[in-house]
Amino acid sequence: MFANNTRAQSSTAARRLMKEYRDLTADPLQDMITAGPISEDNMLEWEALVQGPEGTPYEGGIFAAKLRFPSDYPLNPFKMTFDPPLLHPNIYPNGDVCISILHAPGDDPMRYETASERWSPVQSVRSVLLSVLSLMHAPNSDSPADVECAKLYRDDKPEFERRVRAQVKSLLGI
Amino acid sequence: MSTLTDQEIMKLVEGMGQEDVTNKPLISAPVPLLVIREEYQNGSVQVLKKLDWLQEQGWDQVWRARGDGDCFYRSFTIAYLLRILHDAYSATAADQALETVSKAMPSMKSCGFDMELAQDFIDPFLDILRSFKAKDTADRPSEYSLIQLLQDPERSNSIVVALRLVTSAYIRTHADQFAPFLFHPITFEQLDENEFCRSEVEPCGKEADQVQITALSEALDVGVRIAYLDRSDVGAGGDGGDVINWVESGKVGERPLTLLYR
Repeated sequence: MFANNTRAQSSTAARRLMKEYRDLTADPLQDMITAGPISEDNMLEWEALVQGPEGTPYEGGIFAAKLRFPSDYPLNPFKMTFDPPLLHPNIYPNGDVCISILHAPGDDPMRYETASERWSPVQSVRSVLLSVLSLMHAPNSDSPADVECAKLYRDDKPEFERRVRAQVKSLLGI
Repeated sequence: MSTLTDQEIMKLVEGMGQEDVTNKPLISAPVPLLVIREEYQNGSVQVLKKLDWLQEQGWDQVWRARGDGDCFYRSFTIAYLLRILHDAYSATAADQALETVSKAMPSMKSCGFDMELAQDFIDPFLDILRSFKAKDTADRPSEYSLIQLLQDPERSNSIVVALRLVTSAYIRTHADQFAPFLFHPITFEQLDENEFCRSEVEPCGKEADQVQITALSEALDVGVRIAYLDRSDVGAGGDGGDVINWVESGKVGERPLTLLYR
């Protein structure tokens, strides 16, 4: 959308991200998620650590994700990638999180993903991370990123949960 | 006919789907309407008739907005600011504009926007409005400086976001008025005001339709009329009738901002 304007925007992006980082540090998300720049030299690359919510098969796990911000942030959304990838219907096998709030308006991979909330400049890292937490509670198998996983979640939930728990254990090295 | 009367500001909003729109300026310097006519020279007779009529009525130049989905908001901005610039009492006009924008702020807060984030987008707009009141006349804007400001992506896009937030807050706080018209533009699925605003108003690059145009026009208390350059036959004009389809919003009785859509 603003492809050739990227350089002019990057100072805005850094300023805005500094503000978001400060706010997240001052008021962490229920101690469930921490997020911040990997290095103070580059505000456009963050790492987040997400705790698996209680009462879900992700409970007990701590999941690392990279947040990559475009230089015209917050006009366009950032990308969030779990590394290592996380077994979840709305996470691509390569770890990319597929959630409508992280989609730019023109970008519609699901075609009729109609009235879903889109990225807008008043969204923030905080609002996206909260959506990711709620997605861990309740996957959306209607617009799956990992089709196999979505099918398993829909057709055989106990097996889905068993595999997620096994992944959590192996990630923790138990 | 004067070259351009202060209230008769008209811009050309270029259609979407053109080849690489990102090479075009966000807002152009004024272009004679005859240049636009050239493009239709071998085209529709109806369109030429409408362009000639506009020319006769004194709308002889346009400011083109890049067709990137934000064109309504950007066109509105240049028309709104030029109106203030050409006002005989532009400091007073700017004060009124500042007052109107500040009245829109509480409803933005009540919609649950993070006002600290929102303020970053609104400030560049307020700064321009305040600059009309600068003590030193040399610090006041000119048409050239306004175009330059709106060609700067950072400020220009901030203002687009600010106007999108004003529009969204107005729709959300006047839900009863807009409810019958809130649809997904492609699937026509009925949306509630929050869904509509989150998916069709707040994200950058989403084109404005009648609902958004009406909301912004009412929120900022300024009429907007848009000349549609379509191929329909709208009479000869000899009887004094308008030779164009106007789509009007808000207080059109009082010097509306005039935009051109094609």
